[in-house]
Amino acid sequence: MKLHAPWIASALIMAVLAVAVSVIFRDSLSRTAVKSDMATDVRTVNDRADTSIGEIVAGVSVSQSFEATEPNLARIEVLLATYQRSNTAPLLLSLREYPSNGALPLRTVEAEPDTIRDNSYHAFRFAPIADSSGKAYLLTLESPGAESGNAFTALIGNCDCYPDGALFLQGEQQPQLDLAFQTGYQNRQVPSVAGELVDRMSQYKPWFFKGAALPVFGLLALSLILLTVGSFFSSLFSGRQPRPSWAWLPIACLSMVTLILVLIFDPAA
Amino acid sequence: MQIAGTETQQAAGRLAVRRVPETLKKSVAFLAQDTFLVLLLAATFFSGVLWAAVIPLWQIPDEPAHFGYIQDLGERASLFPEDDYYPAEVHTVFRRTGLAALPFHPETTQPFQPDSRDGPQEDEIKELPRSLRVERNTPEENAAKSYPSGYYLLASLVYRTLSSQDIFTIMFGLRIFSAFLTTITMLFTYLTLKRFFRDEDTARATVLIIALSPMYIYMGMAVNVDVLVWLLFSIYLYLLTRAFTDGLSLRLNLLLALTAALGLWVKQTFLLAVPFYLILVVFLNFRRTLTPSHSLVSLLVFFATIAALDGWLYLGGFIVTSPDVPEGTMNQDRTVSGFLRHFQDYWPLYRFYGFDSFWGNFGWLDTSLSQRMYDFLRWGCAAATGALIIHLVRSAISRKIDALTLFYLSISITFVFAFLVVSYLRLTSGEVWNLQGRYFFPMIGPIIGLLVLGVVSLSSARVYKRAVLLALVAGMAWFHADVLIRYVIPRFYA
Repeated sequence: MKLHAPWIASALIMAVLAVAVSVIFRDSLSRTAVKSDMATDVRTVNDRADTSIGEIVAGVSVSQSFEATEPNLARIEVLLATYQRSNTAPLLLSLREYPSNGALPLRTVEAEPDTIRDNSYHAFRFAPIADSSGKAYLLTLESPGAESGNAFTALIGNCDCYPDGALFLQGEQQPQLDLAFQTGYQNRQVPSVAGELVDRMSQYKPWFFKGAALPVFGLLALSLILLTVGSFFSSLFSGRQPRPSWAWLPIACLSMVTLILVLIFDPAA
Repeated sequence: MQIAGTETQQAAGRLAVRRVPETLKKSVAFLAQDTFLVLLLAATFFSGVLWAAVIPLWQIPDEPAHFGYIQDLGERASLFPEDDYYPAEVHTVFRRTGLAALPFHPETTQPFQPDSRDGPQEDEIKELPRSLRVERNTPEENAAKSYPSGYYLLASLVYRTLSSQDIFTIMFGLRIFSAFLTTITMLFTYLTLKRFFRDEDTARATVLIIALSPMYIYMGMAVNVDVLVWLLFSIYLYLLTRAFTDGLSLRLNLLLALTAALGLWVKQTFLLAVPFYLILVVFLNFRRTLTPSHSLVSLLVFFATIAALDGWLYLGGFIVTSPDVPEGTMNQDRTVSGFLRHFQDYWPLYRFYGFDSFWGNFGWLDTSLSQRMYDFLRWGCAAATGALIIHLVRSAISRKIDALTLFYLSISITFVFAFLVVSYLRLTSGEVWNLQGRYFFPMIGPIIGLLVLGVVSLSSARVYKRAVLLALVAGMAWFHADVLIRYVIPRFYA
């Protein structure tokens, strides 16, 4: 028993690692954002960005009206910038019907400061609005906790880049300016996240990296990594003792692969 | 005399013929003895293949530039590129797939075809005319063409083998070739670390940390000149370590010179092989394992070999610097204080590009990990560096300092310092250039080796060492899986 103790210990550690990987995979794929992102088609509304609107500090509101072209509006992506610094005040996006006539926002989303990147689109995700097609909306950006030197900005096009909408600063329309933004509509059916992932990863790939080959390579790489780590642990535990044959390794590996398959099988279906 | 000479030659020939199967047998026996090594190489290769399958076409920094160079040589029988421009196919495919919109825009993915395993334009791209592979349709210059053609000539052989196939098969075939080169790199890194630590467990843990580094495997399967630079550097470091431990024989000296000469055919980074060699000679002289006359002969052989094999390449105008130096915003006075001021001003940028991207920043450096993860890595590395300093001070006080550790430290510092100087020169020339963590990968063996040495040497208790090695390896395995599944796959496909 003493002779086999290192192998048992290493097999156990391998099993723990395999479970950890399965949990990461399961957790990552079952996140609502992943599934909703896969089901969402993004449409560019205005991608021209010539300048910034200035710091969005407390008391400043930047709004843009637009017309939804499809049902299930579920995302608005705004081109934001950080002034190359780490700002700490969150940014709020609210969405109202336009004209709003003082109505409460339909959706409000808060962007955590550390998720906003410089000169990049930030996705504000919200529950889909089923009857959005053909309706006009007003998106508004505010940051009540921000002050000068600790605030984000949004980028705008210096033109009437989007004729079906207008930019408003503090409620006043700004002619010849439009926010750089895009909208997302959650209209696609994604019955299985894992299946959709394999389909997407296969696109623009050669025949040997399409379809079933992808999970096969994934499991092969994972098994080999676990075996290598297991082999290292067994030698680490055995020290100067004579090392028994490595018949335990394939058994441990097989059990782990079975475990992984059970755990990851269509986690978000 | 003549007959004796011939007989000797015949005997030598028979010996050489006999040696081939013997060497093969020895290699197989060596691998069969070391199960860990076999598994390590298989794991390195197949994780490289997995990453190659995951990362979309040309979503690794500069991959289109390197592919353009390979395509240029693959389509024509030449030692050097025809001109400084991209073949038209690269731009056409990049634009048509929608993949050109991804670099620097982490929220953007390629357009996908619903319920299909073929991209929206995949069939059209596969049927693009072959003439696009030699045509030029853009005045954009290919920066990769400032490198020597060593890697590109080798990769062009793979290109030619696959040239009847579509661009996807060629590109991803080249990535698998890179994963293969990185696997050989891992072999030499392991052999070097075994000599450095003289302790199998620590050497194995260190090489596993490297093999499990997601950024290393990501760049290791890229179509990029660096994969061959790493391989040659790993061989060079192995030879240096052997020369340090066994003495600098004439054979080793010649092998060092040949590796350096070959490396200079691949990338200018190999100029650093020269100071490394000089440091070795100085150390061997201090240790009195090399006499001054032997040193002189070795130096002459080393430099004469390099001059003979690379002199014409570097002095004959075949190697040029970057074709274009764009107007930069970091232009400084070329003074040390000016550079230090610049370094102080842009410290967060250096930390981001130099440190964070060493551990993981994918896509075109647009897919960062979480701040918490970077903070953990920063503090972890700072602690390991502190531990190494404590170890060195303790060793110096007790007069038991390990010469090989000092040698590794010297060449590592030289390497990092050389890159800082290059950064200084380029920035003060007005060029926009960022010192990236992946540039340090040729020295990843000594760098990680020294950090691990620092951590394990804090206590001499065997339990402590085992626990540390176990935690480091298990942590890296988890880190690798987490990065791939939680950051990389969603970035490109969600």
